[in-house]
Amino acid sequence: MLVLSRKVGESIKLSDDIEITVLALDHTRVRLGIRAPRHIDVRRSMPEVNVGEVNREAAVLPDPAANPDILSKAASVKNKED
Amino acid sequence: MTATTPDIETIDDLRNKIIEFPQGLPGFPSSHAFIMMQTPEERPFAWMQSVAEPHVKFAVVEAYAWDRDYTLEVPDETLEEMGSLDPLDYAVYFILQIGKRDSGMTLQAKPNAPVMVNVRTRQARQVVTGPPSSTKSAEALCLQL
Repeated sequence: MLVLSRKVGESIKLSDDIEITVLALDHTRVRLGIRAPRHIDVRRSMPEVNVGEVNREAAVLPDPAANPDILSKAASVKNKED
Repeated sequence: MTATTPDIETIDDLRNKIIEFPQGLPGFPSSHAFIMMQTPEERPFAWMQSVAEPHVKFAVVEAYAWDRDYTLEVPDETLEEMGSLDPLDYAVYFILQIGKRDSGMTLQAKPNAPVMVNVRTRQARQVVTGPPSSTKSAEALCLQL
C-alpha cells in the first residue's frame, strides 16, 4: 500500500486517466473529487460499506408487535395492482 | 450481461430452501446461510432469515414481479464465479425496508443492491448495481399498506 499526504486542492493521479482531488476536509470527513473514464466504476470501490448500511437498516428486528402477515397483505395489494 | 427474464416462478424452486452467501451478506459477516421462507399467499414476497442468527431477517421480493421493466447488468466474471452464465439460472430479489407511514406500513425496495441466487447451486451474492435501470421512480418502489 502506498500512503501519502495531500493538502486541500492537491490531487493524486492513478495511471494517466484517473485523478482524485482532495476538495475539502473537516474533522472526520474528507470530500474527494474523482475524475475517471466512464468505464471505471467508482461506486463499486466501496460497496461493503454502503450495502452493509442498507442491509442493517432493512433488517427486521425482533418485534413481537410486528405484523406477521405483512407480506401476504403486500402480495394481495401488489397482485391487484398488476 | 444484461438479463431480463420473464420467469418469476423461480422462487418456487427456493421456497423453504437454504441459500449460501460464500462472501457473506454485507453488514452481517456472521451470516452466510439464509433460509427463504414463503407461504403461497406471500408470493412474490418472501422472508430471508439467517440460519446462524435467526433474529436477522429481511423481507424480500422477486425483482421482476416487483418491477416488470427491471433490468440488471452484471459483469460476466461475477456470473462465472457464481457458476453459470445463463440468466435463467438466476433468481433476483430486492431487499425491502419495512417502515411506517401514517397509519400504514410501507415496503421500500432497495433496487441498487439486489440479491442474486443461482437456483441450481443456491449460491447467492448481493451485487451492487448503478442507479436504478428501472423506469419507475423511487416512489413507485414504495408500497403503502
